Amino acid sequence: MRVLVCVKWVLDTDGTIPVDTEANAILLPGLPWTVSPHDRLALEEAARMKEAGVCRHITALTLGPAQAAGALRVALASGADRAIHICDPALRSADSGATGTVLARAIAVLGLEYDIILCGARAADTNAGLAGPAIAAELQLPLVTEVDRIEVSGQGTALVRKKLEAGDKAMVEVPLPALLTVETGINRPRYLKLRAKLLAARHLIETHDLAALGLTPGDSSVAPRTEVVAMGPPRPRGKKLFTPDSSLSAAERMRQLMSGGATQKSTGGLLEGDPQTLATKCVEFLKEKKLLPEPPSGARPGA
Amino acid sequence: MTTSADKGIWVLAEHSEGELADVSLELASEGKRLADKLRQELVAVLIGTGIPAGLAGKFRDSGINRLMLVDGPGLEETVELRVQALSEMVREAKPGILLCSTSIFGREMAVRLAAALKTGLAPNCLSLDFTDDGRLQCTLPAHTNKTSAKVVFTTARPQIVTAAPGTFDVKRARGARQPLTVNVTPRADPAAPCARTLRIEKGDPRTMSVEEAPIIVSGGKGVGSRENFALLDRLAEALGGVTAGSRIAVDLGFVPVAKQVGQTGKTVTPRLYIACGISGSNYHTIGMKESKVIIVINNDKSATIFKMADLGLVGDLREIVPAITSELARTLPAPTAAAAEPARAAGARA
Repeated sequence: MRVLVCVKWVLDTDGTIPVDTEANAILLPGLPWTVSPHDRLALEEAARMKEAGVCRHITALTLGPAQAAGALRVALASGADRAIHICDPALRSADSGATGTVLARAIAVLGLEYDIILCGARAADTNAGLAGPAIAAELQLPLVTEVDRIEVSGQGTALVRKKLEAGDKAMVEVPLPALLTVETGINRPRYLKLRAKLLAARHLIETHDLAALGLTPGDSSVAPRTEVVAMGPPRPRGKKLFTPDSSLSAAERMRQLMSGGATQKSTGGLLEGDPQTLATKCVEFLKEKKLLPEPPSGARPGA
Repeated sequence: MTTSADKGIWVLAEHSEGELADVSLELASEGKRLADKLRQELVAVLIGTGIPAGLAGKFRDSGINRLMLVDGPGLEETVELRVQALSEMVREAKPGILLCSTSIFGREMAVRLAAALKTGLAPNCLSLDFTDDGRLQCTLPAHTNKTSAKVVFTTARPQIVTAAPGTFDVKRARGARQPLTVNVTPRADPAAPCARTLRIEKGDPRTMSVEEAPIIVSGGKGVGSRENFALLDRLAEALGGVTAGSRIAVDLGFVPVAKQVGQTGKTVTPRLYIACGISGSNYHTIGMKESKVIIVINNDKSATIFKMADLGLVGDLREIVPAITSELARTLPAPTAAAAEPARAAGARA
């Protein structure tokens, strides 16, 4: 089986990222770059598949400026056998959607072989998580997003686990070839040893421009769908502050403001008494609201 | 102000367990603001299998002009079918803007629709504005929230935007009427090759984060000691939930900071929130007031938090909490209640 991993070279977000507020741009010189953390998980997962004997060949693919080859060096150090770099000045403003389309084109035109394509669930810089799904859409591959476990069963399918709401997980069977985007928790990437890095530094990286993919800078697939017009310092996420409903009386609004938006609920009751009675009433209330845990029975799937 | 090709603003509404998610109305309110500026129609889309009829009424004050109900077999379970059906509708109606939430359902729909429709995505927006030529300008966190970016869409439509629950306020739209409900027959081909959900594994309360926990037992200063906090742990375990705390509880070392609820901690919206020994200052309630059912246990009858309680128990939590735990043990047939938690509609969204 062959695995293709798409990686992105991004600004390391472990440190602070200085922003020139006059120019609305990041002060790039001197900032460290790295492989996007979720992509690193994808590389590690591929390496583990190879060690387990499930996968015999790993291709790493990236799109970006000349320095983005750094992502491929990391990929090679963590076990990739082949590294391909799509690099063209016309791709400088490529957003997630355009990147996905061009990568899909590269996979098709260069005849890259794969049974599974792994992408990070989202890049550390844009946070979009669109490149993977865009590749899957272009190549018409089955897609499972935000996967935190992968088991290859052998009969041309993979069994993957996907996060749902409330801590639930779905076990999903997906026919191969398929594209999976990996979420945190799938593994812990290993420390890359110096020897592996030195070997990776000498490894061949194949670089292709748009022309090699049969594309021109004017093609619609190359055109970015979104563009960043300004960068700024981080903005705190506004916690929803309570604003009283203007249709209420002034007194009621004051009361609401002072209680942080808490209003008397109609269902409520204030109970006093001895603890045992209160506990009984509380459990009855929970039962009535259907909030009690179900008895663990074998009948329910996944219980 | 806008190009003639853009026809309306769509909101992808969400529902589970027969209830409309609050974020849907938040997105509708923001959509209403945008629609008023553009003088365009505001449309909400509900998609699923067997959508409860009562949900339409929830949009009465939202300013939604039209509600599209896309109901069909397989739409609840299979994301590929939902995407197929919705992208067909979008191709036909050509809305200029599509608002989704950042829930697992919302963000997966958003990326898949953006991929299918070859358009862009502005993820996790903090605020929305218009450029001079009527395009959306989205302010969003970038570089893992080390920077913020202003993003505009080029020519791709719809402009797909996601926003986290709580980003926008729910406002009652002036002169709003019950939206016109339109039933849409989904055009989706169930035979398309796609992933198949085999089963759902229930979340384990012991490893769950407070934000994803359906049941939270929370303690404040009134808990008094770490030993007393263990009583809350036991109650949480019996209910299949997790424990959390107010800022003071964290400062006193009762709970780790990752479980802090409130202004400087996490914002949670569980189905059940049990507040023990918490007075209910604004800084705490801001992080939990959207909880579906709130039970308050406090020995101070005049504590503010009783005002938001669905059930208030006045008394010493050191007596009441263990009493509830043992009462639960009596009520529930099996002694181990740790694994299960109440059945949710089998809305297996994968």
